[in-house]
Amino acid sequence: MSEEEPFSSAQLLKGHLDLLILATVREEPAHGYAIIERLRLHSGGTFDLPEGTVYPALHRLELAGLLTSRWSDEHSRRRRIYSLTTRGQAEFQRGSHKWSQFAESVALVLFGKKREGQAW
Amino acid sequence: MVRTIQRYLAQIQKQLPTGGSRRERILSEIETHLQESWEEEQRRDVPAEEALAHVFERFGSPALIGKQFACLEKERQLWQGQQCWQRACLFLAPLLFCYVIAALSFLGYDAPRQVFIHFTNSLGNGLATIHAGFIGTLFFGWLILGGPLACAISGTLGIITMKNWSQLTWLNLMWTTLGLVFLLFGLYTLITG
Repeated sequence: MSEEEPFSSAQLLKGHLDLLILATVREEPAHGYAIIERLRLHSGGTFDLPEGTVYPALHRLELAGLLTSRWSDEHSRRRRIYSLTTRGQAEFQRGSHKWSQFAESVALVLFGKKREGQAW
Repeated sequence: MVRTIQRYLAQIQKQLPTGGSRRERILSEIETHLQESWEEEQRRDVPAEEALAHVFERFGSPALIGKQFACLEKERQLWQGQQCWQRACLFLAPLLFCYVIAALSFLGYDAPRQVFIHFTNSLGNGLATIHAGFIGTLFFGWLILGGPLACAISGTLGIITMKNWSQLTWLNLMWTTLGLVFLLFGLYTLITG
């Protein structure tokens, strides 16, 4: 049996990482380290996941045609910069819409009604 | 310290099934990340050794990460296999389809000699049938391969290099236009006899 807490941030994050990465890259093309930093920053430190897991996810999204990447040698360091493709953009729109519906349904079950002024 | 990073990378490398540029890319990306992260820790006045320990802890188990990449590589190989089939179908099926129709259009003739005799008369008919099938099949391929989602002209080069295969639209539009030209030619031949 897993020792991880069933409702820990890491557990809740599973399955949503791809969408979060797409959202992060959508802002501006970025390399792996910057993507992880943005995820941490934008979530107020909640999504402090094992950094190594982001790289296979980035490669998987690229394989799926949702991200594209290129080498950059700025600041005397070789980095792989990821950006969103047209398909990635469409997938992000679809995914965020589904997530919004899902979150609303979970809130309805947990809190009994949609909370006032709730912006998903 | 650099040696410690190299040892960490070697542990990841052990799990990677691929050689060449892909393995190099993965290791290069991770190495840059580890160094950047380590420098960031040191800027916060964390001693070098302790900083590196934090970096490795945050990055996760090298064996686990290596395994994730290994799984991804299997997916990639499977995907590339599917791509080959899709490409083969897209480029070969229309041709095969057209020639089958062409062959069928000659079935009514009882001897090869008669095929040649009546060839001129059936040419227009044959061309029209062939190219209608050609356009239909290409349009089907366009829909199946996500053509409606693609919208950049640079897509054609991407299709050839397999980097941006979804942008098949433009290539298919080109083929379809060519098919239309042949269809018009076929109809013209049919009308004028």
